[in-house]
Amino acid sequence: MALPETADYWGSRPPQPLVMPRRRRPLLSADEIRAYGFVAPLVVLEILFVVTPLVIGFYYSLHRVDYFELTSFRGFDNYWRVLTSPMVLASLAATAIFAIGALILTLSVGLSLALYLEQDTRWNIFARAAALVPYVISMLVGSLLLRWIFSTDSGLVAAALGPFGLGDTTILADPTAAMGALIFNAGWRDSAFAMILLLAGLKSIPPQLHAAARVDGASAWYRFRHVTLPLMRIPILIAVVRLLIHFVNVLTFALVLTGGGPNGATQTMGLAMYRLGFLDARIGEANALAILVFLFNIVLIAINVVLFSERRRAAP
Amino acid sequence: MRPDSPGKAAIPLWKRRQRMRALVRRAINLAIALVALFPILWGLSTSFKTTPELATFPPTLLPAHPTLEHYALLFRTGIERYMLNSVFLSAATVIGCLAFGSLAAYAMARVKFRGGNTLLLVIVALMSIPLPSLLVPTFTFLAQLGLLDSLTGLALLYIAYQLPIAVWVLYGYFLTIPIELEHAARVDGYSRFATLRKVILPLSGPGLVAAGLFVVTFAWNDFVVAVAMTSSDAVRTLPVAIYGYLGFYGREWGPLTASAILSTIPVIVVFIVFQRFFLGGMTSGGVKS
Amino acid sequence: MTTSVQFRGVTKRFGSAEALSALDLKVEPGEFVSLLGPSGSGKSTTLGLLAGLIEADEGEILIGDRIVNDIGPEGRDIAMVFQNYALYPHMTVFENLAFPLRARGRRRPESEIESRIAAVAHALGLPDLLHRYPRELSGGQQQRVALGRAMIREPKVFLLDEPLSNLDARLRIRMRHDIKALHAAIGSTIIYVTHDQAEALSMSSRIAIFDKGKLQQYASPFEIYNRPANIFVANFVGERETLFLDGAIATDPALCFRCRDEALAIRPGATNLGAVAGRPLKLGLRTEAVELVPADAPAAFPVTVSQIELAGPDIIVYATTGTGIELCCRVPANRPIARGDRLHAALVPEALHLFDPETGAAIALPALENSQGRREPAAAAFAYKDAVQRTA
Repeated sequence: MALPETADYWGSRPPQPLVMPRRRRPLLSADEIRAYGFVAPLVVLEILFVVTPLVIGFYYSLHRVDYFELTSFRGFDNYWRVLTSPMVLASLAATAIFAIGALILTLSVGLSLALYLEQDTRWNIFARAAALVPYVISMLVGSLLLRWIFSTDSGLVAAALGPFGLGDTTILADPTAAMGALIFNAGWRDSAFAMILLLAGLKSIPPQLHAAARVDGASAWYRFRHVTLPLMRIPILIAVVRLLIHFVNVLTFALVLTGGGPNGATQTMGLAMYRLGFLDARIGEANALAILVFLFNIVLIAINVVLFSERRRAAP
Repeated sequence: MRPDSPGKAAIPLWKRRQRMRALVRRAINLAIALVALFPILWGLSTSFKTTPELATFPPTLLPAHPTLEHYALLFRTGIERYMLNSVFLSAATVIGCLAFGSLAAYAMARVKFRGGNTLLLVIVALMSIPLPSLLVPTFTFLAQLGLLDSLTGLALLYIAYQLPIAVWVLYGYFLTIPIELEHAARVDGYSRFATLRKVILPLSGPGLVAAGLFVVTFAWNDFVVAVAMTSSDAVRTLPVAIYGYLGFYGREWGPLTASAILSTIPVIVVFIVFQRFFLGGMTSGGVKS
Repeated sequence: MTTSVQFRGVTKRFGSAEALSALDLKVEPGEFVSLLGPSGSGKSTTLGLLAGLIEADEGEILIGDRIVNDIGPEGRDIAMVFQNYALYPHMTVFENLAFPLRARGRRRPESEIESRIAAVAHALGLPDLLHRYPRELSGGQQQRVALGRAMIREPKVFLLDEPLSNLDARLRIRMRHDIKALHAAIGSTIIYVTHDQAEALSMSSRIAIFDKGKLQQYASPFEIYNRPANIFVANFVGERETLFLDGAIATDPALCFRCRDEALAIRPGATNLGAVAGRPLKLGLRTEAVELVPADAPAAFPVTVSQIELAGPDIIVYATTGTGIELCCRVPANRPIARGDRLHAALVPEALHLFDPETGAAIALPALENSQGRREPAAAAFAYKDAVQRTA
């Protein structure tokens, strides 16, 4: 018996591919255009005040500049001058010492604080808030207050070290001690910043992992070493990169606390750049140095962005 | 337990140990707070000491005869003008950042557009650009625009520098608002912009506060940008003025610490009042060193 | 006050996945159409496309005679009720209801807003709640406010996205009734997305069933239930799972379904099952396709009762055949049946669903010589008596 081979079953209509009108999306939908309008102020402001200065700075860095007049094209001569200038080279060394010292201090204090203050008890929240105060107040004011403490005028250092026979120590006049004070300044202000970054990482570790490790009989140190640290890899790297960017460039600490002294011992690169541009008015060379520093920063910023996307991938 | 045993033995050993541990923890927490706050407290104490007392050795912990002379001196010489400049700048920066920031953050959180993901990464990059490295080029550029030494120029710079972080915080917050609310408003006849204004923003209080806090503390505290881009007295901000005092008063720490305290108090008050917003914004990743 | 809605070859992709492929669907003015399907089937995508919340990749969407592809949701003159209600938490009930009337371009005078809100609030039993905030309302009250906010503008098309799924079971049945009454009262076109077939069957004039981004069948609830177009529809609709058996119809010695060395006798009836005898097919059996019959009935096969469930006035009897096929039928609860009883059963010819085992599509039966009964299957044989409800 021949059978109709269709799905047309008792009159109900299954979908049939009809003549399909082609309607493709326009290149930019109305919504997309609106979105571009919404982000336009952001994009314009950033291009105007972040990108353009760098471009102009680069242009200036290729010229001899006398009081903002471009007098002659110098090519990369300014770069050469900057890179062979004893002042800049000395500041490079100072920056390296400062950045590494401050990084080690800040990161270890920040990690200790984060681990110690992880639980949200009332006393911990209080201690966290107090630790954050140096970070939220003005960098200038913080350095000024520390300068008052370290200066011989206050008598605090003399009073504290007097019993050890070091009553006439002048911290800010001794190159090594001044660098120590500078590093302390950075640690005092930025440890809480590191703490916050790391605390966010710690809190994203599921507590069951620690519970499981405890049940398995792992000691506190073992849990830190084999559970916490591996899971904190990216937050720690992010903290390292961001602190490094900050320490390599910062100028306020040195400007206010030591003024770069004694004898240039604490003149970091940020401060050298400031000197060159705003005190010596050597705009061409200052721009060359700025571009060089910025190229270095770009590397760190790129690492930061990569780490950021990695963390987002890990925990969206 | 015998009734005649001394009260102390009534507390079991483990409990005493526990209490001891809690006490030690509290002591450590206090010590942390003390180290962090000591320079500020010491500056506060100094600012109330008379000039002769400042020279005594060993230094006194608290002022023997508290005085307001240093504060009076600052106000006699017109520190309130610099404070007003800072207030104006802070307000302008907050308004600009929140207005432009919420527009951009909304588009990024809610509209699919080509380049949106790239923009997000660019914003992360912008947030980590260190300002000192921009000073000289920006100075060069502003000189050409004729915006040097003006509050307008400074406000524009502040907005540009803080916009990425404002966008970042608001973007994170907008993502937490249920998308159906927005769909409902759109179906109810509201455009994207009207939806943002009537539905999203009224529900974004905590996000706006968090973003505003970052921006306002930056604008109030900033020293490097202001000192590089301004020179005349009329547009001097409070931090620049304080730096000026450092050169002017030299070793007269009375007025110096008083000015430091004047700058710090508003920040600490805001910080205490809005603490939870600060931390909320910071743990979302939007922190600038 | 009412209008048609049409999809013409509409496709939507998310990345490389096709969420909806070449949808053709026309909803007549005043219809109540349910979009039914499991999650990820494309029904919510369809609604989003119609609302303008999602943009189509291909094809045209029409509301009335107007192609609306390029018009945003604010310009489409639609109203929508969301699954989680989407009440604005920072506005009172009154402000929520007023919100659509204060939109730019459709702003109404405040006096009119007030009188309309009063009317809607009265209709939905909300007058005492107008000054409360959404968080102060129960789930059912929030649901009513969401409905009210959609009604207030008297839109031409009403979209409802699983509006009842957050309510408890009883309230859900009550709201079904209320929504249907609402539809009768306002007469707007309603598009209703749900994954609950009971909601779709009880309220709609037509149901569009989706699976894997494709429209499977678009017909009245009666047809959907009684004449499923393919295996997916047969299985998706119905209170419990449909039993599918592979085999063939045989007419020798009597009409029966042969599968697994067993002949399941089919009671005589007004169908032309003999026409497909011998062809391999898949047989779909719901509870109403199996009957318990006396042992001396002309068509009967022996079964053993394996389990009994009480279902309101009826009991559901699970009965196992000689080769272990577990059939399922519904009998009045007053019949004394116990586990282990040996009874006899027969298949009901009008309730059998035949599908092609390869394509899964339903197999049509040629007309009986007297052309009686096929077009009008004995509807009375089905427990489901709801008539076709096109209101168009």
